[in-house]
Amino acid sequence: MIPLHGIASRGDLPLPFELVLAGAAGALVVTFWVALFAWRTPRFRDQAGIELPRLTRVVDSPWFSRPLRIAVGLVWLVAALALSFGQDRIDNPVFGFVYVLVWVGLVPVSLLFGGVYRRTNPLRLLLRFTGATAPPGSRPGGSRLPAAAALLGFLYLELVQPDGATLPVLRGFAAAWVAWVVAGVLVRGQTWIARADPFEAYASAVARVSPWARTRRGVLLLVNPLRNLASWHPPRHLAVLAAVLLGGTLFDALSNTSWWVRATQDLAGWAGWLAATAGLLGAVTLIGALFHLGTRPYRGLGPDQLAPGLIPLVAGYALAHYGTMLYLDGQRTLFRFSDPLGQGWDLFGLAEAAPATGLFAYPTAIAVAQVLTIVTGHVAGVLVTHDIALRSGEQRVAVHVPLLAVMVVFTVGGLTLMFGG
Amino acid sequence: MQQGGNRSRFDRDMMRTLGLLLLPLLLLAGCGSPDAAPVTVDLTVTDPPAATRTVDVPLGATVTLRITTPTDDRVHVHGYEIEADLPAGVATDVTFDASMAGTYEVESHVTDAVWLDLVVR
Repeated sequence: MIPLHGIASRGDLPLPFELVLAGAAGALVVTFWVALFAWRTPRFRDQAGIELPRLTRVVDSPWFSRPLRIAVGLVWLVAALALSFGQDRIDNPVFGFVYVLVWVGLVPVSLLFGGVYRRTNPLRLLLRFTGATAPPGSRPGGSRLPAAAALLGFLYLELVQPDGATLPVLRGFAAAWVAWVVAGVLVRGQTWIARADPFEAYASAVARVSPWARTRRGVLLLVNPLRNLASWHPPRHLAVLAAVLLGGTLFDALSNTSWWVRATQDLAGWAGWLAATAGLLGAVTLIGALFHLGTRPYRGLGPDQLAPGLIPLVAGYALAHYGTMLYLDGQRTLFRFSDPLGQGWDLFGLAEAAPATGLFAYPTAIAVAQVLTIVTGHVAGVLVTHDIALRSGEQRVAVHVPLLAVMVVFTVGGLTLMFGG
Repeated sequence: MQQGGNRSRFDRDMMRTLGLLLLPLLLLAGCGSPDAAPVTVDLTVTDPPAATRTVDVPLGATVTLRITTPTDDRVHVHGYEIEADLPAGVATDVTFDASMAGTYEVESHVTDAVWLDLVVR
């Protein structure tokens, strides 16, 4: 909470106990009903859906692609100017841009529209001369370990780094991010971006839960999101990437509990930093270790093959936990783009605008939506995981129980943390 | 290709089920928020400041924070984004409609001490 003081201007009410109980019970029942009765053969092995050749032509035409890339690129450019020349105050739009619009916003955008982040990635535009803006190949190619490391770096900035919402700190991390991607591309070629850019790797994984896919020939497909995810040939070390993302959300929720705040508030300087760093690394390790344990009974299926099932959990939890922040602070950030350099400008006539807050009159609806989002993510995750797991040819329930139990632990854990407030 | 037909019917059923899951949300969103009586919260800041106090106020109430500080200060009500100057030793009223549920920090913009966790529910 303290590192980003001022960005997250409010917290949601803790989830009511009955809702947490109902959500947990629902997750448990669906999980074991699926494992024991409903799902005995893999159904989503192959990509299949409705081919949309006409939409493909529109989306892939330069008339669509170029304006989209340039518009998004301009937003990033303004954010970069605000970062370089703006005022070191919380009303500098770059803070909300990074921590709210990009970090939180990429989840719903990828869920709804698929691989948009890859297409509008500003670093790809910057590195256009290396062929970075070409359409992706059909092979996922390469380990995602570099992206997992970069994501851990971002989570450290967001959740641990003191003064993460001040310009000098953010400048340092932004420079490191650009250098990490650009240097890698110059050495390894443009395939490095998909493997190492934290935001693109995160967005691309979430995009597999969208209803949009491509055939081998590049034609757009409208598909069942579960099939889209389960038919993915996941890249190497996807399990590590997912553990980092899920561990980060776990630590974020944990560090907001009154228990954690009370335990660490008296730790001065270094000790507090050490506790937070250890907490973040511990959360990531715990998630990764539990998942590895759950996948051990399967012969011929490693954690990476089974990791797609974790992505809906990550997306569901991100939406539940940060959805209201995207709603309120997302609006405020957009307004602040009217005066990006803190010069008293009003470029878009929105500098004095008041955000819509009507949603917050319905706390019960918000709580129900949060529980439903987490449970829906869980159910989707379980269906995909189990579908992949059945490809091992294992029919014995005992083999599947450990992994399903781990998934239930993740979901009930997530609900409990949001209940703890 | 018969298999493909079965598959897509199955896929459609799945989507429908997911849609049904979201129905109760729409129903609940229809509930309104009640009107509540006005609330006054007295806050006397000490030097050094006391531990953060948690105060519950009902959603929809008109809330008055009556704040007295030992030195000249400036209060910031997070989320509602209200800021007001607080002259030393004078009880100053900060009034607003608690129209948004949630938890909000009330802090000093001089010492960065968090005086209150305002819980609107």
